[in-house]
Amino acid sequence: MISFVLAAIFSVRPSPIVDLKVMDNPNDEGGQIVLKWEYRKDADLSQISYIQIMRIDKMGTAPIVAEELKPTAKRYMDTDLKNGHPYRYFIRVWFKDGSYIDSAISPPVVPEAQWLHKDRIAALVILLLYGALLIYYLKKARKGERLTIRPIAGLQAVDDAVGRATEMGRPLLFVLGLGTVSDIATLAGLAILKRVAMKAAEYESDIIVPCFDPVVMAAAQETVKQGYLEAGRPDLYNEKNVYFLTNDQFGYAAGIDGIIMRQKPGAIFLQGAFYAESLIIAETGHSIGAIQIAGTSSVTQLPFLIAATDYTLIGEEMYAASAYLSRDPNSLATIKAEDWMKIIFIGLILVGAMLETVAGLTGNKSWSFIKTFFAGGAQ
Amino acid sequence: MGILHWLFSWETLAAFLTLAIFSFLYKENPVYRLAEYLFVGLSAGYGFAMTYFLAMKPNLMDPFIIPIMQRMHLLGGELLPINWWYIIPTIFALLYLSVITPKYSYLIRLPFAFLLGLGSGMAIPRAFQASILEQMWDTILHSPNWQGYADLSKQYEWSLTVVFISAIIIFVSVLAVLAYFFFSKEHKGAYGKFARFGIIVLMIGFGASFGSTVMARYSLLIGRLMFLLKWLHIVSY
Repeated sequence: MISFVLAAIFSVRPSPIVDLKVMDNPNDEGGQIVLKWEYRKDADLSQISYIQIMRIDKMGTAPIVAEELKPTAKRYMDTDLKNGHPYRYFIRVWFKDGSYIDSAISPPVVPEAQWLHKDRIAALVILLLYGALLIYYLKKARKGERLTIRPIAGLQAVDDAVGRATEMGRPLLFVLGLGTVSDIATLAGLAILKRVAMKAAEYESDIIVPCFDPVVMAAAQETVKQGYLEAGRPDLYNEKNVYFLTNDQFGYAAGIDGIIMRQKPGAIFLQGAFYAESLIIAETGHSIGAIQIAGTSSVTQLPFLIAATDYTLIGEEMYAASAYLSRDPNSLATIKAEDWMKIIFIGLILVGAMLETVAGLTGNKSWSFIKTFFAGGAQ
Repeated sequence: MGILHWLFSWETLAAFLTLAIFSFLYKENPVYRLAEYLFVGLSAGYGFAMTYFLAMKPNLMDPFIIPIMQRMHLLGGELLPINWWYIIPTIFALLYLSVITPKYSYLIRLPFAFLLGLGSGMAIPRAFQASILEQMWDTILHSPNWQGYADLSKQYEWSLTVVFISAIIIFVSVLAVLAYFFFSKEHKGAYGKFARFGIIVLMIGFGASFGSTVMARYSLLIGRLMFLLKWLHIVSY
């Protein structure tokens, strides 16, 4: 019996944890350390109850940072650490018999923030390429070269819709959706709003803009005011027609529905970021016989708007609206640059697909370099 | 007592408001208008309270305004430290109110410019990453020898040939949709037909999305109808 106890006390069991690697988490704002480890090949994992991650800071204490990880875990990320402070780690393996063994202590690792996200280099390359194309076309536009873009049906109908509402003696309703002022769809909606406001001023029609977001409301007021000013009719601008409704999604939809039914606008513009309320608004607009022009980049709402409105600007058509309506050379230059980017993407997809096929057929993954390069941030 | 309790319960109020909103299906009427104004007013008030307690209080009042008011002996309690950095966003926030005075309303352009610049700066790289790179990655086909094909084949019990053909369809469709959104060239001739194929592909996708979302809306309607039936004690669950 005594010999058994002595054997239990003095027997040295090797830690099942081997190859503990501790490193600063790459491409982050700091404060995070990644731990990776392997299990000894001859280790009997069925005997392990759980494992704990222990952290030693510069004070030398060893708090538990991860309780009861399963013995199959091979990775852990420690967070909320102080940048510039050294940390060391070890792993405590608890066995089902109540005993434990500690792994070797790792060398100190200092969490740091990185300025460059290396997985996003592909995005940077594309951004620089786009920037170069943009500068090229801007220079062309400023030299006076004529840049043209193809007709977009929904945008051609804008003037007709305003004219029709005027003939009917009804106001125009412009809905900017649920987006904030930093949403690209809202910005595109504001660009269209300016054109609609100019036309409304020209035809002496009222334009009603109920807003979901107070900041968007202020931007819409400025936009409409500018539109009336540019049309030479600032006297017709009525600030009270551009107002805040509510910032609750369905409260907003109910409010818009009420406005549609009571004011019976001749033309309704749904331009911006929309969610589940899109069909509710578009159906109500359809029920009163208003001409409706919608535009959004919300993929899930486009089907409803296509079904319930007369014209729908799909995604990028809406973004091109500003250039199309204003014919401003600078805006047209951005569309030209975007078109060239599309050609480049088509080329990259074609070449990438062919190289990928070669890589698959030959088994040589070095052919996958295009995909690997762009996969940096995509995976 | 039982009937009165039922009649003046929150459930009855909720059922009444549900029916008031549904009455819009017939036509716009005073009952709908009552529910609409109640909904809009309550949600606006709720939104204000949420904005105050979740945004304004922790980010402006607690770290900046309240400590200043304490030092001006306008508020009591344990003296809180002043975080002077908050003066910058506070000034930006106050500039939004400049719209009240016509003389200084131009100042609102400063926070707008900041917000738009910041928003665009954050959105553009994200859009490149999520909308372009990830789409490119998925469009560049996986080789038949690779895991992607094997997984698809196993998932749908398709032969590798069917999986390969479907991948080719996706590949050509992506190119056609890109061609549709090309604005520099009119949709005429062979290119026009290819772009036309692109819009057909989009419409097929939208149709599928339409169908699945309609089903989700039906489930919401069923949920509401079940509430009404439960309120009327016609169903018990």
